[in-house]
Amino acid sequence: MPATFLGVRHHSPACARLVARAIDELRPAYVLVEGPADMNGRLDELLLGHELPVAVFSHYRDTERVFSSWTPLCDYSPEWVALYRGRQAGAETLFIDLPAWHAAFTAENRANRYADAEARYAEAMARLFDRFEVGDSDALWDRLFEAAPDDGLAERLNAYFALMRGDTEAEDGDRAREEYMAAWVREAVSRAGDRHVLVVTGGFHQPALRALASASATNKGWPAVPEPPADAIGGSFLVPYSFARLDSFTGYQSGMPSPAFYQDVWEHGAEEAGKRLAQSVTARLRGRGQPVSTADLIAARTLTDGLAALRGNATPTRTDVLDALATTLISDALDQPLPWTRRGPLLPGAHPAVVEMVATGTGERTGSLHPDTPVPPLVVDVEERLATLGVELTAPVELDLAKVDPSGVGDTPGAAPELTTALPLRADAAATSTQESGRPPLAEAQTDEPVPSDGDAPSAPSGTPGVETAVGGLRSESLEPGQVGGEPIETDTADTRQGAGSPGQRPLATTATNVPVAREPAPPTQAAPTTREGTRSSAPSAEPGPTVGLALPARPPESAGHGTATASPATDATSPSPGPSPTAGTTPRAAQPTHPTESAGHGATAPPARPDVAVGGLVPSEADGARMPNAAGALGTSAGQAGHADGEPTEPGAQGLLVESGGSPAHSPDAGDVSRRSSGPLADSSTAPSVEPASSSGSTARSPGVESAAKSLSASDGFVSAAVPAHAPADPRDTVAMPSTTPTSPVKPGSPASGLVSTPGPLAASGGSPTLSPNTLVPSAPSSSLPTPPPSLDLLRSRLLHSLRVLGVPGHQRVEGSGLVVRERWEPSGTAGREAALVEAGAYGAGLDEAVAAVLDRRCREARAEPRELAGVLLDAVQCGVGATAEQVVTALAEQVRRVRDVGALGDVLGVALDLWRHDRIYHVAGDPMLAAVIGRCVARVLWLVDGAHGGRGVDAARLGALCGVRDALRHAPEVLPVRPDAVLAAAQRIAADSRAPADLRGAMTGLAWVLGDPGDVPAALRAAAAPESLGDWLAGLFALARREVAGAGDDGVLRALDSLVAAFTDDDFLVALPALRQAFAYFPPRERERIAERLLAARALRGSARGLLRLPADPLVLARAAALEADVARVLDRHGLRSGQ
Amino acid sequence: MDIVTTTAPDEELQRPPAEIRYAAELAALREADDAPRPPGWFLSPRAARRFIVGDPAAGVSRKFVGDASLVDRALVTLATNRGLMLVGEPGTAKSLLSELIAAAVSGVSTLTIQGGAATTEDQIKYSWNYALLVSEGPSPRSLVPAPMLRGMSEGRIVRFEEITRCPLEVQDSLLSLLSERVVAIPELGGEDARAGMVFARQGFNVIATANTRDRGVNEMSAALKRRFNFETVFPIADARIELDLVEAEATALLRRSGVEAAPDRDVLEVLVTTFRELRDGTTADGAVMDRLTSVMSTAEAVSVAHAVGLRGWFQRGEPGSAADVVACLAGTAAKDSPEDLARLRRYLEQRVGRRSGAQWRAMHAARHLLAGAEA
Repeated sequence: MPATFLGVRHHSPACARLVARAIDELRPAYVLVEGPADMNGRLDELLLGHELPVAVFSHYRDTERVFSSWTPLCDYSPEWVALYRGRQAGAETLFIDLPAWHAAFTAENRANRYADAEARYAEAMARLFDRFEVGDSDALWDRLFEAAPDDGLAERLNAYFALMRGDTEAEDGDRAREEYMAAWVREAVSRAGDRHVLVVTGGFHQPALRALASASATNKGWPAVPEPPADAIGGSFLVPYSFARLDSFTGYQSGMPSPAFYQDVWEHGAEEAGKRLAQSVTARLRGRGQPVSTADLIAARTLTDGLAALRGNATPTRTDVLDALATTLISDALDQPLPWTRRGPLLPGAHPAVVEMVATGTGERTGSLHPDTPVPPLVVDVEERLATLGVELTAPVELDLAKVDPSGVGDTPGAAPELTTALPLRADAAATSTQESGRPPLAEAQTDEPVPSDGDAPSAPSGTPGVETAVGGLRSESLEPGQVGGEPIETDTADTRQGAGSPGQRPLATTATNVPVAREPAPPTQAAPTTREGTRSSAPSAEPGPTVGLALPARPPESAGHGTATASPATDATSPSPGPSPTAGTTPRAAQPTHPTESAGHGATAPPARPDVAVGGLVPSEADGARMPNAAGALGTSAGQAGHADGEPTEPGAQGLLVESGGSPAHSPDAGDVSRRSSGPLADSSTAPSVEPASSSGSTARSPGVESAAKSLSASDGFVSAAVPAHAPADPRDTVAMPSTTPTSPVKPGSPASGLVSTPGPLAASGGSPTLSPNTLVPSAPSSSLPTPPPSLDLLRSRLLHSLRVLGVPGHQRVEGSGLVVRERWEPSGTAGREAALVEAGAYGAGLDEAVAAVLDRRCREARAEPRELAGVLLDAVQCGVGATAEQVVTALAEQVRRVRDVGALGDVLGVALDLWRHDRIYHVAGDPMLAAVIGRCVARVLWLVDGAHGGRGVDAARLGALCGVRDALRHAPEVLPVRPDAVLAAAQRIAADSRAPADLRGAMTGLAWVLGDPGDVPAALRAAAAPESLGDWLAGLFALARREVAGAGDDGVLRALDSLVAAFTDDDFLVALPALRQAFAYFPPRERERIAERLLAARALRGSARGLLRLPADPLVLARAAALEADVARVLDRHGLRSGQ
Repeated sequence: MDIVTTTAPDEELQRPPAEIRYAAELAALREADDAPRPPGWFLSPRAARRFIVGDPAAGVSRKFVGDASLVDRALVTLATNRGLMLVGEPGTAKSLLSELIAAAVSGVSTLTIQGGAATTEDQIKYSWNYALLVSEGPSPRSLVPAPMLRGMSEGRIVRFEEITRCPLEVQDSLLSLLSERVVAIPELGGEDARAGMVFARQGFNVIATANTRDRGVNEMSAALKRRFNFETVFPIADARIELDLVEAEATALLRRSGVEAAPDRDVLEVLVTTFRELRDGTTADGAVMDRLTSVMSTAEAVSVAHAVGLRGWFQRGEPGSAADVVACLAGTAAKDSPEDLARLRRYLEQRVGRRSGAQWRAMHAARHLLAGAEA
């Protein structure tokens, strides 16, 4: 019996009814549904009895990308009806489409499996629009199918999809899917024999599927469900979903709009649904206080019916109802066309009634999962991290983010952007492993060619020189002695150099003792199992990777010292990942040709070794930050990531922004690049200092390198570890606890991550030939960027808590410190709803980092043109350590900044960006080029907005703040600005002279010109602005911008001029000017005010205490009024001759 | 019954009304019209829609390039007991749409009241031939019906342009007219209660237009507002369509002015793009800037294109150039607002300067021609 093909539109009630009828009539043996085939073994889970809407969330991560997609299911989805009714009717129900992570979906980045394909068939659609006189595809669908009677539905659907598809050849992705689905169909037909087979797929696939499935089955059994590639992790699980999220897909990803409306269509029929929509809109508007009279409703009803008749709809459609409601209820002119005629989100500025109408169509229903549903991986990940970091739900948490871990974090000037989170833990692990494996690897290392992986570049060909450089690099960090990269390192290095590792080994040993060595040299592969997913091909070893660079937060300085010693040999390699890198570096170098296997040869110490190395000498390398990336990069490359390493050189910059936390695969590539390209990346790093290295390390740490490294390396030892670190960032799980990484040992901090063991190896290796390898690594790193200190334990805890906060999971609340601060205090808040929130959040990602990145991404999109919101998202991204998202946020910020009209908001954003760009040592985003782009655009926009500002009284503090931001940007970041200082100077002088500009702006522009070096004649300008009403404002502007110049001016011209002006005021004028003058001088801190007072006294050739001048017995305003009052009284007395001559 | 009277042959009219200009199409549509027709209507709503939006198959030209679903809603509104209020920025073809709808629905578009500050109720409802009034007394002969009364008695669409510019008292005189659909003429009343009442026939309705710029609809009384269905007419969304329209209209105007050279499309594109950006307040690449307070409508663009062509032809004997555009923009933009000139100057300096393209560069080079803007 040939199969019966039903082509449907996803989430269409009419199609769902059709499917139900078909199942009832045919009683098929098999019902094949377009859905992820990897859920076939878990269909029972789907049918547990959830409250729809729910979705199958699929996630995928490999060295190149991270990908999430949803397969939403609601009551009126034909797919759901097929599964559910099919099961009821006794058929075997199967999903027959490729899994969500398959290239067919990921190639086009499709986040919604059930997206509409109509966008691709625009020409056919245009013809249909003309023929049926509708304006958009939703109206057409409603008219032809939803609002039309059911008879002939199947034929009409066939005709519609055939017309749409026409002769178009499917794109590659679709073709792969269609072929795969056809295989299932053929097999089902051959097994069903006489019984029916019902196939429910998207209508666009139906014609091709029909053709492909007509070939006879080859009787090979059911088609195999593809597995994720070896170096990737993918999985699916059920999550609750909501109508709001279903409706929020836009553009190509969108399906049927207005879920609540179509739910009503499904439950009550099209006509009733239209009436309910009108009723709900009315109720909602009345609830918001808008009068909706019965006469209005009568008119709306009339118009609805009339429109349906004119347009030829059998029953009023959604567009008819909404159009009528808008026309009759809104008695204003609209600013934008009605939104339901096009696909896309609501634009800002929509009429509030229109917003309510759209929201009514969307509805608020949320689904919930049956209690027996398995828990998403995020829950497990979070629990593990909490345990690893020692964060109790019931205890307050005090954090000092600037605390320098022994590893020498801290003080890295211009901290490299890279900040690998999990590092500390790994470092410990590394340390541990190094300890153990210390010896052999070293030996091996010796034999290695210090191939400078990055080597080509900076690394000094000779070991010694390289080491020097590395050391030098370290030194440049201004690390404290005892910290990696500090004095000790040098000595250690020297020792190690000589001792080919033995000296190094000693420290390792020591460290080893300190570190609970849980690890076992087990190859990283073992680690893999720990991963939650279990599908991870890349061994967890990869994870250890990242740690490598980290300075163990908990390590006491002596460890550090040891570490340094140890690291020196190994790390000398300057690669940030001290342990691994050297090892890795060396190994890879040797293997440069790429292959981890080669490194594996070395000694197979698993990546864990790395951590050790890291611990020991790693710390310093971490610190080097820059080095790390290189090292990591090197490692990564060595890991055989070669492929991945191909990150664009430019990437690094971007990645530098934040920790790789996003684990964006993108990073890896860079890293890979870096390492691979030895000279390339490294060389480049010199040019783009902080950024590059960071990126490289980051990237290396990230995925590709890591993953691949992890995999291949498990054996490779040090290399692996190197790879791991890189990788780690990519892996959301990497953050913080690396439980996964250490398969064996629960020891978090010191988890032996396989790398540990290997570290010694690499180190050794580096120690050996090493002078080269470490050196090569080192030199490159330092040149480019400052090392990124490994995240401290407190920083990791902070990130964990911030991440939970961003995800909306109750548990802890921050009570001290806001924004970017050094000290934080978190207190436990109620945990009601925690489980549910975690499960909900699981829909965003399989790991904490992924989930946070997804949430922030969504907020970023929703923030639209609100730069303050975007700045908030940026801050959150920094605090959660989500690098990739921060990049996206910064990109979005850079875009949105150009639309902003509010100078104050721009000032906020500029302030945040500049701060982050300049100062961030804790979060290590300093110097990031994306931030630089934001800064540049903000400055340009501020200058545009203040140019031409006319009128206005008083002081606009927000505007002055924005101008201060511009000044700071000109001072500290002139190279990133699109405007030259002389152009700004010219504009400032012009505006200062423009009499129509507000006074505070003029003063500010004078100040800006002063700061830029050409103040012109400030006293003259001051005199020109001397009207009592505006003097204070003018001065406020001047002082806000040029405070330092005024306070420190060599000559007292300004002060004298001001003095004479004020002295010339009459009492009334003075009273008028006084409040503004006080406000202006408030811009000076007390000490500077005192100095001004001194100079004033000096200018008047008086002697006295400046302090005394400043300290007044009462509020000056009161005093002035008192003085005026006394003067009045004196006048009256005089008039009446009552005052005796005084 | 065709009550259109002309004093001159149709070909000589400067701007014939729609029912004369498109008489052939209307006749053809009425011939072929078999869809249900509301009582008193000249065409069915479907045919009226086709008349306005165009039907290439039937040889009906497209006369309104805006949103077609707006036309749907407008036509259905007129079949109900609510009036139609078209609001929008000046120059968005509200009056044109109102004229087309009236011609299609009742075959006559000349029952028009032009609202303004001096509009009185006489001009809306009725007035008297005072000579006859005095000599014969009030009688139907001495009554001079205004458009509203005529539309009611004949069952036709009445157009009320710029209703919000009328004094509020005058606007309110429409209230009972629209709800009860009757006008009382007490002077003609007698014993018969219905003698002095003019009841509206089927087919009567009102299309009002209002500009959002001047007073907008904010001051309209709520009671009057709820007797209308509001439809916002938006500027042309598609730049290509607007450019085509400007080009067609400008060419026609220039030919009528005796200019033989057709306008250069590239120059027109620069002109239309400038207008769109200054109108919307966003540039093509998304940056936000200030809108001009003057209205930069399509109609204005057509006038400027006309002026550009005239300038180019009569000064140099060639089609207008980008420099002519700059010179003519000042007149458009300034109106009475010096800030607008400054904003225009800023736009020319900063935005236009960054564009590539020969005409854009020419425009940037000519920015000093912007009369009146400070340096």
